[in-house]
Amino acid sequence: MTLGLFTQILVNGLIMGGIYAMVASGFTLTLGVVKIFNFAQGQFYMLGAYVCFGVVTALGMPYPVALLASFVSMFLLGALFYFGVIHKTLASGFFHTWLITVSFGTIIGQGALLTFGNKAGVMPAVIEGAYNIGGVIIPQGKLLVIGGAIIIMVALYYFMRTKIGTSMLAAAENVGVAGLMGINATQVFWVTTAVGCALCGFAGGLIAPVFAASLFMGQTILMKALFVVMVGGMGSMSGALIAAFLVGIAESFGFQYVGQWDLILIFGFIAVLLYFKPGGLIGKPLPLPGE
Amino acid sequence: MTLLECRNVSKNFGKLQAVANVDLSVEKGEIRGLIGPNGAGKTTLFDVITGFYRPSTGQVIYQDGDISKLEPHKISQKGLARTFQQTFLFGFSSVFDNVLAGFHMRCRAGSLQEFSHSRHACMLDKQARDEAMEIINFMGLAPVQFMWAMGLTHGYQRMLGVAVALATGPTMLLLDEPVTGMNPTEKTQMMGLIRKIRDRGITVMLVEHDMKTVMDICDKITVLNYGRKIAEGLPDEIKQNKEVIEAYLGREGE
Amino acid sequence: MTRNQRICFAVFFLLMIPVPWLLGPFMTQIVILVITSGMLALAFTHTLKCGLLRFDIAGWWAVGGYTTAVLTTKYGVSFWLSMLIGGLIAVAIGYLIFIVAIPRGMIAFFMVGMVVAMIITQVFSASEYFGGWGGIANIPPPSIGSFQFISKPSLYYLGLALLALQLFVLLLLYNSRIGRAWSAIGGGLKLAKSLGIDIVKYRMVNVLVGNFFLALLGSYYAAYSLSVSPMSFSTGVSINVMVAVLIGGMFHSISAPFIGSAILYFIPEYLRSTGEFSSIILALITIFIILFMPMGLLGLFDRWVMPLIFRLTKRYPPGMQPA
Repeated sequence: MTLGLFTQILVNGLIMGGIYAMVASGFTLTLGVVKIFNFAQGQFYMLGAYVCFGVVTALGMPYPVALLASFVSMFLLGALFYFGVIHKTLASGFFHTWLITVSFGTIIGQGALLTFGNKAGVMPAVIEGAYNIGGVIIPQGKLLVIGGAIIIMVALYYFMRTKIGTSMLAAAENVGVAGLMGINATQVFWVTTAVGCALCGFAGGLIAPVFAASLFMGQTILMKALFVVMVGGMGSMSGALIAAFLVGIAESFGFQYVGQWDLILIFGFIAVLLYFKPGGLIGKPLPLPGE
Repeated sequence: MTLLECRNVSKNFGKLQAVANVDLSVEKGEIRGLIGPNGAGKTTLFDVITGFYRPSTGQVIYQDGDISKLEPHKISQKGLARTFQQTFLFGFSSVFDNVLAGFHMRCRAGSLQEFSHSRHACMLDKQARDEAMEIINFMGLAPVQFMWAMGLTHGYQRMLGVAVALATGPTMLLLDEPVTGMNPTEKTQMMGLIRKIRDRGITVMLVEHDMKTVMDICDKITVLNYGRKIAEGLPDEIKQNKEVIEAYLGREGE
Repeated sequence: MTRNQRICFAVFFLLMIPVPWLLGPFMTQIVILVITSGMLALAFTHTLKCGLLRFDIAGWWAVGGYTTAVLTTKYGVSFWLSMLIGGLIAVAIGYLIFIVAIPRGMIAFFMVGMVVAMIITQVFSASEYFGGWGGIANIPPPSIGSFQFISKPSLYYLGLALLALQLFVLLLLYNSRIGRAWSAIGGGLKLAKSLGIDIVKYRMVNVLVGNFFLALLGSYYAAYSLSVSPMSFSTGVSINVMVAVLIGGMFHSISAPFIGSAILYFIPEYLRSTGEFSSIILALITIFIILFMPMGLLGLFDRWVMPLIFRLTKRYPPGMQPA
């Protein structure tokens, strides 16, 4: 194949890798700190994409502002989600909390479909059609996604070193001890949830102009994020990062060559990997209960 | 003979050293006390000994066998039982069922026989039930034997914890704060029981904050502070040990 | 089995025997559906006993169904043999997969279950050997001699027999040392470990027993519908199972799955009128239950009705006497 095609596939893989990295990080963070699966997180991805789209088209704001709007709005919505829903069910246990996030995810997803589904099934792909071809073959728009992903991941890295970030890590290790050290568990939990949702929203905003937003994107991204989290080691942030790019690239090449079996290839890849390295790839996993 | 030995045992959690280079050996038939200010690493040491954590350095030797890398259930099977600071019990089960649960590893009838409820399995089951009753009487839990564990008073819960550990038929028993939170009557009762347990041939090591209990009942005392062993000896020696006094006073002043 | 259990078992099955004759073919069909959903949910509560949540129910169900479908249509194997083979395959594959997943704890097991179910359905739908998206049709109905299990009543009794088998085996297990080990693991992981119980081993046995029965159920499904297709084994099934258990009450491992399944069956009937809002309404119902009755219907029963019964009959279970 030509170099052009190869680069194309690689770039697509990196883009999806970046997206998976953001979504999977959010998921892992919530899993490791709050010790829950937030299955509604996929819908925050979808909502972020549409907020971004709305801000650009309806309000006429420039794209970076729209991205910020995605991030902030999903952060607030995530916080609301925590206090309205998650906080009340934490006492009932993992199963109940998880099921309620699934239910809310369904409501948001179906609700969006019912409200907007008739008007526009799939949002138009190109918001930034103005971007010309930068470099030789790569569209600037796609580079933007990768750049955006890198920036936010670096920001996340430094965030984890701030006071609130380290509180989150401490709570992940041992909530009881963290409490004794003066860390407010509720505060840590809502911030974690909100950050996770904001990451997803931001990712949605990034991907919208490139690969189009659809009302179904929430569900698909959730599944992919789960694979990434499993491959990277459940609860490991750095593992999720690496796994995200691996899966993104593997998927891109897989789809090109193997078509419908690409999903099975990925699964097989996960299976083999987990067999030899049950802890996932690398990194210190955040401890999960029940071991 | 030495029953339990810790050789240069440390446990690190990242940069935090919870237990640092502790050497310890407990003789058969002893009642050993393990004391120290809060956070000195006593429960962590228990967790390492019983396999809930792996030692970062050093070894744990039980009955001349290295148990450092064993899983908790394997260590229990070797005869080393424990209670927990937080009193873990099966809340929705009766006192009797809780004690019966402890007999799990002693009734080995083979899976197929168990499944088909063969005569052999039923017989072993009956034996276990009889012995469970015996332990319940021994620990003074007869009056509440049918109550659900979660409905018990704190004192009874702690007794039940010890009873369950006894049910495993141990050669050594590690008690984590057996009398904490008990009123004086219960404390005296528990102390008497601990002595009787030792008389039955079970070696005991206990962690406790109640100084009077410790001094009264222990043959020998080991003191930890900030994860390190700072003193070891007879109760009278420990009472007068300057470092020990300082460790406790210094902590109180914080 | 305890005396109470034996009585309930006998009474229940005696009541169930005349159903096709009493209720007619339409209701019989419904009862079959409720029973099969109930058995799927039973597999879930069975594994819940030892502290694990399983999301892979649809997957093993599919394994049983497809094994029977393939063996009977392509190789002419008898239905009964295919049922057994399906069970064994589910156990073997389950062992290979879970040997890695179980030691990692409850959450990891949950995730692995999710992915496993999806892989299984993916494999069945992508491969031509398994009929792709259309699945396999024209499955010969099970037969003993010249008698074929085609009529609804005959299928009903087959299903009932399966239920009896499953309950019998499970009750036998729950009352043995193995069952007590499972309850101990579910009741307190750390405590169970300190009592010498090998958590991984017992959990593995529990899960594999579940796998076996799930595969048997799959074979039954193949016999009942005379065809299998990937759509019937979607993740939605696993979620429905969990909602059913939630509605029934998570702490009653034998009765809750069936009560929950029965209720869950009738809800969609009323939901059909709402059309496209059905999944939203179901989600809202689930949320309501989680927030206001997390212990399910049986939990409510325990909390409000049982004390009344105790007071009325003046008979209290040991340990619950009012002071």
